[in-house]
Amino acid sequence: MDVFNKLQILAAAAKYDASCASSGSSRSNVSRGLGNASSSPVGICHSWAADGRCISLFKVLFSNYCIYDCVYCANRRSNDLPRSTFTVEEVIDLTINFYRRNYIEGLFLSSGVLKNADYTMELLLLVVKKLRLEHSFNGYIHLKVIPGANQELIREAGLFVDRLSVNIELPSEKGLQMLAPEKKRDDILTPMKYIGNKINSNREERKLYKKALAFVPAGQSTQLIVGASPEPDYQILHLAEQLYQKVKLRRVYYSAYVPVNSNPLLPTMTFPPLKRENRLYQADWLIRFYKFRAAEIVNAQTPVLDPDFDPKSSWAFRNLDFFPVEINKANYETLLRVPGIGLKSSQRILSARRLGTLSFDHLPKMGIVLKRARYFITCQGRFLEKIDNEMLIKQKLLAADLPVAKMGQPHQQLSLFEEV
Amino acid sequence: MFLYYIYDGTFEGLLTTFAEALPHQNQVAGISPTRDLQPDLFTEIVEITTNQELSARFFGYLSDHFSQRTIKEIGYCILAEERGLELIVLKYLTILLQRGEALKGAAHHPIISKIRSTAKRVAAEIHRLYGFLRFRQLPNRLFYGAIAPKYNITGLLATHFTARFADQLWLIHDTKRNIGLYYNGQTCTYLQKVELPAEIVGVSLPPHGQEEQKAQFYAESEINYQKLWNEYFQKIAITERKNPKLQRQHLPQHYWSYLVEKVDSK
Ligand code: SF4
Repeated sequence: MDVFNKLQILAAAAKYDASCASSGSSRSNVSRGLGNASSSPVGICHSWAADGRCISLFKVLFSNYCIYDCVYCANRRSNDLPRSTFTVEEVIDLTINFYRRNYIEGLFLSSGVLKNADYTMELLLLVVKKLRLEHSFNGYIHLKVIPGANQELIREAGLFVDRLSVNIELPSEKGLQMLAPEKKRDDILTPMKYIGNKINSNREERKLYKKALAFVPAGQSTQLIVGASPEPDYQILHLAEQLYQKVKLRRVYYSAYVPVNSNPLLPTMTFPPLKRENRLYQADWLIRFYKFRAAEIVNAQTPVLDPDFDPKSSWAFRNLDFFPVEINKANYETLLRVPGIGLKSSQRILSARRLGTLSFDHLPKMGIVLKRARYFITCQGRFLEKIDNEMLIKQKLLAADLPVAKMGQPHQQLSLFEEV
Repeated sequence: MFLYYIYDGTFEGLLTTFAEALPHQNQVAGISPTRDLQPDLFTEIVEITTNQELSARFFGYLSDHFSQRTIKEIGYCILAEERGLELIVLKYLTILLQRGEALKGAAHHPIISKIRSTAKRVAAEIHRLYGFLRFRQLPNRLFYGAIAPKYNITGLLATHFTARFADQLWLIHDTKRNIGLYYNGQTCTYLQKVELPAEIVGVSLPPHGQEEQKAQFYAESEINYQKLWNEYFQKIAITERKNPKLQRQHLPQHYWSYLVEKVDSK
């Protein structure tokens, strides 16, 4: 089979992974070779596919043969579909030549499990090592850890790549047992904890010895599939919060389940639950940047996110007594809680306030969405429009036909252009 | 009496103008690279001759007074090449010099917010070009990237692309302004006018138009990698999530002509 056909098969097989980030690495082009992964603090998108997702990395599987039979996965061994495996040289040649033409920021390499976990992991590691050592390639590399692979292989990979990820995929032990019965929970959690600890100790080490090699400088991420198993948003976000706090993950990706197989164990659906995925990303942003706790957003009483309203507005409706917030007095954390006020605009309010009192006329110029914020704020004690009835506010907001809250759009890299 | 300044449209010319105009800033009615005003009784037209030394000194003066961030913002606004923006930049300089840079915190001030939003648009285009510029390999190892940016930002791409493509020869060509950047494997040079460097022989620059017709201008393997990339681009999309509106929003049609994967679509 020629490279063209292999690429067709192995790109299509890689598309369900949501991660596209290329940001946050410190790897620079010291060798005057090819590539510079540290060039942009926010990551660079090189194109956008027909599904509206950013293309930053050359995302591909090494092989789509797999010894496992996970129920939700298109590559499960019992599926009858065209299969292929790259050679190490083929992946390298594609990566280098795509990079030289400025198509990509680097490589995101994953694979189905060939023979066993170690055998597969060794092949992936070989690609990475050759790129770095023989081709002086300094572009971004994201490598997927094959669950069950030897710790020594993971350690070595960590010294050559920018990011490692271990995908949890199913957000609960029960889901895992049902849909991926051959995978052990520990095969996923153990490498995650190991990588987390290594990143921490490496950071300490690098404080003492500047020359120590960086271990996974762009951090660790994972992916959760949404909608293949029955866990409510409450359980998903609670897990994400723990992953951020306890394992110090850089990023959790949520991937709306695309019905690729039919099986009595899987839900029947025609479309992937995209709305739900989007709400989860928004909630995730509230946790990471807006100082919300997961339990404030969803909990046992409100286990699922409202499809009609973004999670910040939903929180505001449930906590109307928190409002109104006085623009001229509130502190940063309080401003962040107001629907229609973002990270940047909260900061702008703080610095503008030092120069004088603010009125409603000033706010749109500072990036505040008044149509959304107006029911929740006062300027110098006055409302623009005072309504303290939840239903009425909801009606008004729905009728106002507001643009989707920008926060947390899944395939957007972290706020661009902050440099200016 | 109002003053209307005419300069030669260059960066140095504008700095010269600012240096001349600053003492009379209350009277300035306009600054423009073209003579598009009918003089009336109350307006005097002042023609500025670009003075390299004065413009360098004025730049030094600004650098002493303002943070890097502010300098960058002002530079971006000038490179936006927008009609009428010169006067706004002058007003911006005036208020910051009079009242201190801390005034920038007044995000709602009309001049400050105009400068901020313009600089942001220019920065956004620079960032876009980091992603959307495509190199096509010509014979003789030269990688050629044609662009047609809205703003005059080609010079600002040098650091990024030099750090990234340190071991290949490349030429970035702003076809709209016929200016460019050439990297010979050692140093990057700004080209006031794009001509192929003498060491590149047997090569001519590909014309605009359909990719297929340009094949004869390319290195042998070029079309092959383009085909591979196009195929990758098709296959990586999830059909069940098709969202042309979102795609177009992130990938404005303006840039399609650069893109190997989009150049021949409508
Ligand atoms: S191990 Fe990975 S590739 Fe193999 S069936 Fe399971 S999810 Fe799919």
